[in-house]
Amino acid sequence: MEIMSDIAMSITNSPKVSLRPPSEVMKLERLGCYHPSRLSFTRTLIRRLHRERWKFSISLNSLDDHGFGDFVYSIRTPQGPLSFVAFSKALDASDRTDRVIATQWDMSFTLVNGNVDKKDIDRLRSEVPKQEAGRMSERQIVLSRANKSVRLFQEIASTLASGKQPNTERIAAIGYLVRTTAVYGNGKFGLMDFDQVKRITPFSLPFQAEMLTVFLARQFSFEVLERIAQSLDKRRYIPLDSSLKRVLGVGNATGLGMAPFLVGHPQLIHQWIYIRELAIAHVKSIQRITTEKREQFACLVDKVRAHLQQWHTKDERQSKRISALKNELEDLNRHSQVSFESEHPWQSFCTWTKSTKSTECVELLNSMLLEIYPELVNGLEQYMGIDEENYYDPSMTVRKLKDHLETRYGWALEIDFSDPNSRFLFWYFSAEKEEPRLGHRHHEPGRELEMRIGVARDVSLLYKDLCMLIRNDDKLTTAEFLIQKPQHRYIVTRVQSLAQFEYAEIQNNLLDIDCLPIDLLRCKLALFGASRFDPKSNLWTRITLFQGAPLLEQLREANVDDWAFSSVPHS
Amino acid sequence: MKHPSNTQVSLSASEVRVLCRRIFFALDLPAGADIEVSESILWLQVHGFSALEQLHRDLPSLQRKSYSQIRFIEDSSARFTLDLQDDLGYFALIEAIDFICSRAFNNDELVVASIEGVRNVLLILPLMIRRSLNHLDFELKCGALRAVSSDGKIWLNSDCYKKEHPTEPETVTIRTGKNQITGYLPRFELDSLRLQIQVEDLRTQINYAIYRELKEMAAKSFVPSSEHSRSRGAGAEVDDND
Repeated sequence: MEIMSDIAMSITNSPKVSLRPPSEVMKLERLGCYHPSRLSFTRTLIRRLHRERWKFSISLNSLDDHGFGDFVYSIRTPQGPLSFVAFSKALDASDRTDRVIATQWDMSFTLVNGNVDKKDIDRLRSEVPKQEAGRMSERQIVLSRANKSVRLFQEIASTLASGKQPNTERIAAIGYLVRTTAVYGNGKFGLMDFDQVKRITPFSLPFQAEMLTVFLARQFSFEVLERIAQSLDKRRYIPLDSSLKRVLGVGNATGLGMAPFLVGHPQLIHQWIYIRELAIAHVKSIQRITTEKREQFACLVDKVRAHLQQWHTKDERQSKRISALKNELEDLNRHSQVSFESEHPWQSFCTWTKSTKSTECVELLNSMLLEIYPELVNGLEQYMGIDEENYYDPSMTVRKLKDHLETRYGWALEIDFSDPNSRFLFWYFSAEKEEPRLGHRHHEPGRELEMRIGVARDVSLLYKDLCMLIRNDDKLTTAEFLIQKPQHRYIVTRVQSLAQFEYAEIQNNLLDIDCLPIDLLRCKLALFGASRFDPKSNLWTRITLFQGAPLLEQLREANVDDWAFSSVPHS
Repeated sequence: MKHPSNTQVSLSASEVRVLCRRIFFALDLPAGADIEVSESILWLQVHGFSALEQLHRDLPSLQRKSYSQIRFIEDSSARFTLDLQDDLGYFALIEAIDFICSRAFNNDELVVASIEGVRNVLLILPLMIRRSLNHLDFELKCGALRAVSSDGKIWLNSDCYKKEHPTEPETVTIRTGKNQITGYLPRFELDSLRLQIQVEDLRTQINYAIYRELKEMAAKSFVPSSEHSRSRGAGAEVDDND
């Protein structure tokens, strides 16, 4: 296991400024303010495609005048070939929904290890469009699907067919042609396990294969669009301008499924957050801001300003935040122009921001700082994966275990679980397509089948039993304790396994009546690289991925990584 | 797709893991034990043992939810006997193995433990292997069956692979200690066993009918849907398709 200090040491030298403590970072309120950064998976993927000169070619295109048919991108990578296989079909309007419980979609995709032949495609065509109800094979790495943005898709197709480029304001308002509603990997429905993916495919880091699939779904959406537009009026049709293609991403609707992932993969979460914090600390440790960096920061402020202008949502909470952020950005801009007379100027700037601005602004500034120091940050991307393993020490004394809880889980021990509101929510999988749902413990059935999301409550119960037992015998081992109290095995294993992973636990009570799952989603989605968060309730959000990213044909260009905080140019 | 009774389904490791976890969750196995046993079943399955079929056979008994308590028959800190009292081995066995390992960690000498009333001997292998990663060697004996783990490697004799579902509970002897087994066992004894190598293929084949029944059991970990719960799922409030 590679622990924190090993990684810190491996990056030339440790930052001089301390990392922010988990008690500050791992709060839902902060995680729910994350912005994408150059460490986000969409960004690392694009850099890799450029660096390793991956080659993409269309090896099958049977799209008809309606944009229905089969399509394959053959991909050549230094580590071997891959195939992105897409199926597009007619979908009744009544079947088009973002919910997991949907059973049909406009488009379905799979990423396959190696090349595919006709026999492969025939088999994939019979299974991939069925998604969860289909049976995938050991060569398939990712399974996904997407629905068209009905109005924008048809509107742009008609505009191109009339020989005009579409209205950029409409593009800015929506931001994508298609919207994915699930991207599956890691062995689901028979797909290849991630352990195998790491061994035999080009993807050694988590979610790289999934991000490539979404990136190619975006490219495929242009193929379908232009095929339809062309068929509407072959004479007057013009292709979509590549500058407009570039500002169209892929939409995504994300619900409660991401929340259990964050709680269920604490070591991975630690790694993602820790590496991000390490990168921030490296930037804050800089002792002199060069003129070049000041200029870069000023340019970035302009980009962020334009980006914020086009970040629309009807969600009241997020809307207020964006509004405040616009003003705060101007304050940041003004403050950045004063010269910092301190040993670590960015650190001082961040301290000022923290004391005067919103959390959303603090996290925006962190992403902006990472953006202008690729030389300090990019090298860290290789550490965004981890082999998750549970470590359990049955010989640990109960006294030591109790001390550990007091040191690391003080935040949980402070919560009063005798208050019914502190355990108001329960999370569960519905029998309906295993959709994750939230229930009200005191009013709804199913709480006996609740997911293990209540880490704080479980720690609190464990602590209570440890205190009782220690009165009689504090030399008892954990193994002996668990024979008496077997219900604590899960939480004991968890806290022991996470002893070296400071950023593993979200330090909030996820069962509390006031818990906002949307904050969990925002954190993970930002780490993926999502932007334009558009919450539709406290339970789910729409976002955009790869908006502003280069197109396939632009991957060789030198400025391939220059697409953070993108915006749609004015008409 | 039709699935005749003899059809095999190819499952990913992730599917086996999730399937088992949900079954044990539905069976109300103590939290954490379900994860541990699921990982053990996965280990056995990818190493060529029919652990899922064994689980399928054990389901009727497991559904009775009568987990027994370990009975301690102790001689000393390093030599003792535990009685699982005919427990099916999916839960009490974990407690017994943990107890043995905690003694081994806290003892300078080799710990020799007998576990009586074991119904699922093979399950000990992955349980001990996971613990041996913390520099704990072990040797397991049960009748003609023998397994040794040292330094992260495991040696098995052919009787392990012949192991059938036992009709009677068995007694298992475990010797374990901190990096002590290789010194205790002559090299030729290890050579007479088969070294278990790292598996390359994580997939597992299972009879479709068995898989379907296991999935039905796993589905009991889901909360039945209702109009009310459906209306509170993510995405329920909005139906625009922009």
